[in-house]
Amino acid sequence: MEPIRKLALQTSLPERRACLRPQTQSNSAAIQGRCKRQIAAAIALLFCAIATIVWPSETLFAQTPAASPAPARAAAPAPPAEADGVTSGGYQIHSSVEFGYRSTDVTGSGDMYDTLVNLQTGPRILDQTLTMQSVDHEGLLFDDLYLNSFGWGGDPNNALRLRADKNKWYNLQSSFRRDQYFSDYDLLANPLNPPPPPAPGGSTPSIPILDSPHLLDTTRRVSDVDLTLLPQSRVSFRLGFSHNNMTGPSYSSIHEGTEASLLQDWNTTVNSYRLGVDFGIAPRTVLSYDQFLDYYKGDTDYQLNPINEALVPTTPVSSVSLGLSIDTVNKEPCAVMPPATSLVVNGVLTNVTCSAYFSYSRNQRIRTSTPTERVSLRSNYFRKLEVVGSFSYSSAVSSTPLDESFSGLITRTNTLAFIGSGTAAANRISDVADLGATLHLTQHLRLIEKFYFWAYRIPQNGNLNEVDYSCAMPPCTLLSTPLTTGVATPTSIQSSFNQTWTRNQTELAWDISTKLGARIGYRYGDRDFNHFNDFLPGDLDHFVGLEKTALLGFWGRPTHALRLNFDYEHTNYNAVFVRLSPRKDARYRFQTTYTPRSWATLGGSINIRQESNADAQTQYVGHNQNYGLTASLAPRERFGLDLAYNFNSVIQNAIICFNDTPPTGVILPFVANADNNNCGGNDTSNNLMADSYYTNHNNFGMASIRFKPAKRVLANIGYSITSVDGSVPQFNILQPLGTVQYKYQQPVANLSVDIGHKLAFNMGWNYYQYGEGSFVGPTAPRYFHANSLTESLRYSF
Amino acid sequence: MAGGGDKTKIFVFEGKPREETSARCLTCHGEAHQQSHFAQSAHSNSDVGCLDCHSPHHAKEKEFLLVQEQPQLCYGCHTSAKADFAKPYHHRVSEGLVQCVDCHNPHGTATVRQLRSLPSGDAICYKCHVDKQGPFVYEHVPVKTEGCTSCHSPHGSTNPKLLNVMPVNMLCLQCHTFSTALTAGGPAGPAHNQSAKYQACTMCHTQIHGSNFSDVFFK
Repeated sequence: MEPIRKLALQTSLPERRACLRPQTQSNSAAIQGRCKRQIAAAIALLFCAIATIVWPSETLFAQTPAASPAPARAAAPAPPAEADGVTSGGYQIHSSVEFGYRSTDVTGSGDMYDTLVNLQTGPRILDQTLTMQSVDHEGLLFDDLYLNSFGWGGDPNNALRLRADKNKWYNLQSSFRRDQYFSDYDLLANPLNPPPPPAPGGSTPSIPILDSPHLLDTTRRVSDVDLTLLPQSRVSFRLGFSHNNMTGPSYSSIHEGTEASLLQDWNTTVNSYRLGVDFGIAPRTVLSYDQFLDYYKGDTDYQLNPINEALVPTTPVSSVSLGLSIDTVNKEPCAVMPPATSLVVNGVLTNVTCSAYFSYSRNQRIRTSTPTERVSLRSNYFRKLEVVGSFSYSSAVSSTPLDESFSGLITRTNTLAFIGSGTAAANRISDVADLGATLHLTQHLRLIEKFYFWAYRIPQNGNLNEVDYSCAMPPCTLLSTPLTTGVATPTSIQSSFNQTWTRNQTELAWDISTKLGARIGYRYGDRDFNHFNDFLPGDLDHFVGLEKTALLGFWGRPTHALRLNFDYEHTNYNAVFVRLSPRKDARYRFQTTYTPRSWATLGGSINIRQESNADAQTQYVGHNQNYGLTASLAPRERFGLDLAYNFNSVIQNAIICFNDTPPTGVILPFVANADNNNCGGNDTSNNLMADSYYTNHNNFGMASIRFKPAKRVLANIGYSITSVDGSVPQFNILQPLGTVQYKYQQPVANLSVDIGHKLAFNMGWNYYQYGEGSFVGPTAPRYFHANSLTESLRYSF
Repeated sequence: MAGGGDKTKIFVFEGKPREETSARCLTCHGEAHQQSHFAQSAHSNSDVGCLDCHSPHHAKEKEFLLVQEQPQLCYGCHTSAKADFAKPYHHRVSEGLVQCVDCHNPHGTATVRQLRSLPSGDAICYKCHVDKQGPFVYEHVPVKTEGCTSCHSPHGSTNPKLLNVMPVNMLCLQCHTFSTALTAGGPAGPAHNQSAKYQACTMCHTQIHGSNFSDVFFK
């Protein structure tokens, strides 16, 4: 703050008065210039002072309700003035870089903010571009180069894309992308531990799980490089490489007696190599051969995450993890043993006959090698026939050892420790063939044929061994000493999983005029699925499903400004493999754009999918309906308006069978109204049968206004909202509606000022507010609101 | 013409049907892998031609001479996709990390919805989500036979993990219920009390995409 005060004192009182009174001829240009600078300095001072007062570091806009249509890559709109570029070394060069600082202030659930937004405080290189184009196409190394990157310095997503080419010599495309992924929707995989008594079903102790047991905080880095050599020659070559690596921690869980929380240390990598050659074997005919090799390494390890610990009176005293589920009424991990009134008293476990974990670890080293060969042909040799086809053969080989150890107690089996070992292996042999042909029957009528064949088989085998150690005198307790001799339980797996899928589609397209076209077609498909469980007689799942689809579509351009498209598909399946797969599936799609003026574009779309499966014990009915409207208006250079509205309705109704015993005194309407008939007499394990429902009505609205209050100033304000309203059966009294009812609002404001000298000052403000309409549940609240302010300078030429 | 050439031999794009203008572009570009399925593509059949997305002389985007940058160009017609990618849980398309063309080939593919696939025929999802591809000793069969969209909405969802249905037990029970309609034999329903911890199916069945060590996907 000290420099600001000094700047204020440097302006003397007489000079300030001179600036305020009307200027006369005697006022020199020098004085005028000095006054302008002083006014500018005063405005800057005023801005800084206001910012200092209303913008304490921890309460940035904390009282202002607001968020953004989408967190833009750069926080503010592009600078008003377009850069001219420079010419150097035979290239026309344009470049820009935007450097700034983002301040973020979150109130409420920081984990939910990170799950949905995850833009944090700190300096950033928000955006960078470089384009170089050879003026005479005689560049030494390249004719064109395009480089763009964004998000450097800590944003969750950043990417770099590079493209370069040298006419006739090469074409290079490469990219690097980094995705920092944080996910902690705390209801996900949450056991919903009950509250303490006197609440129905109360647990002692009551320990809610505040974060999702499957929280993720991982980073994925993906690199791709593709180089085509001699792209315009009769023989050209293609080389490619991709690298995909994901690392970072997450939580997972394991069920052994009770559910332990695990720390999952992700480390997966796949390297992909590509080599291809194209032969121009005839005019407009290219034969290609490609060789691919993917090599995957899965080195993700699991260790016990010792949550909900209690002391066990061993010698010496040790601690044990009781795991995620703490529900003593339902004996998770065990019941309270009277006279104790709680499972844990003063940090000590009162029931030592309790499933719990001293330690757990699991290591694997998955190695999968997938070589693939592909031959393809594309030809337009005959003017009226376009043909494209390919065949590929792939053979993946995967194997991993198992290295697992457990120490604790599994009361169900009286297991105090076990060691898992062995090897698991699987292959996937895949054949893919496709053929596409377009026959131009007349100038306006063409027959389009698409054939696709995909067959794979996955032979699987494993030899696993688990050695369990019990105690000398069962039932064992956590105080028991495991025997030195264990009981081995070998598992030998030999199975296979095959599917052959064929699909053929024929369409007749008719361009009736330049304003109207239509097409009609038919698609036929069949799937043949086999699952050999142990290669024993009768141990075979066999499924054959036929698909018959009618296709219809038209397009229209009644005027130059209006465009219409309609597509319809109706499919009948004679059998389904998955219960919720439809026997009847209808899709309707309508899209239109209308551009009545060069500055006005209106759009609309309707997407409807209707599904059903009339099986008496499924009775599945579902739909996904989507209706959208957009408008983009820019009647003047100084003003523009964007509007969007979308309504999405998802419904899935089907009969389900389940098992549910609410605590005494609790009545759940869905459970109470279910038929207690053992699923129509077919499933004695799940006595309840009911017509389940899932409805999700999602309204999305967005409005954004752009305006130029001055020649060098561009501003933008906007607002978007996602409002979800739906319903789902309540199976558990502690289960809130969660994501079935909530509002997510995002106002945004941006300002961009061209300050000359190829510089633009950008300022963007985003507000995010997330709130659910139901109760929280036995976990941490998920509501949050947040402000994010980004100030940046963009330099471009 | 000033040079004495024949003006009628110059192809004029303006006013020509899209079928014709696209054919002109494809005389050079049709031999490339990316454009090889264009004649059979949904775009071509819907009268979407090269010049709807590309402008050889007046491109706003230097990359691929696009008339507008991705994904705004795609959103111009696919308005529902724009809304999907604005949902709270979405692939980072509007943010620029993922592009529409990563999963779709606007010039057409051999499969439906202009979806790309891996050379092995597997879904393009596995290009990034490599740990889900397998092969596994214990496959969760619908993942392979029905595809990822059985449970996930790839563009965007109002549910975490892009799930089609929440809570998770509701999603699972829809299939894991006895059915007489399944010739392959349906999965047995879970005999788990939904009012106890068992409402969170994936708390125990963590390796739900496939497992090498557990036939019930525990590890």
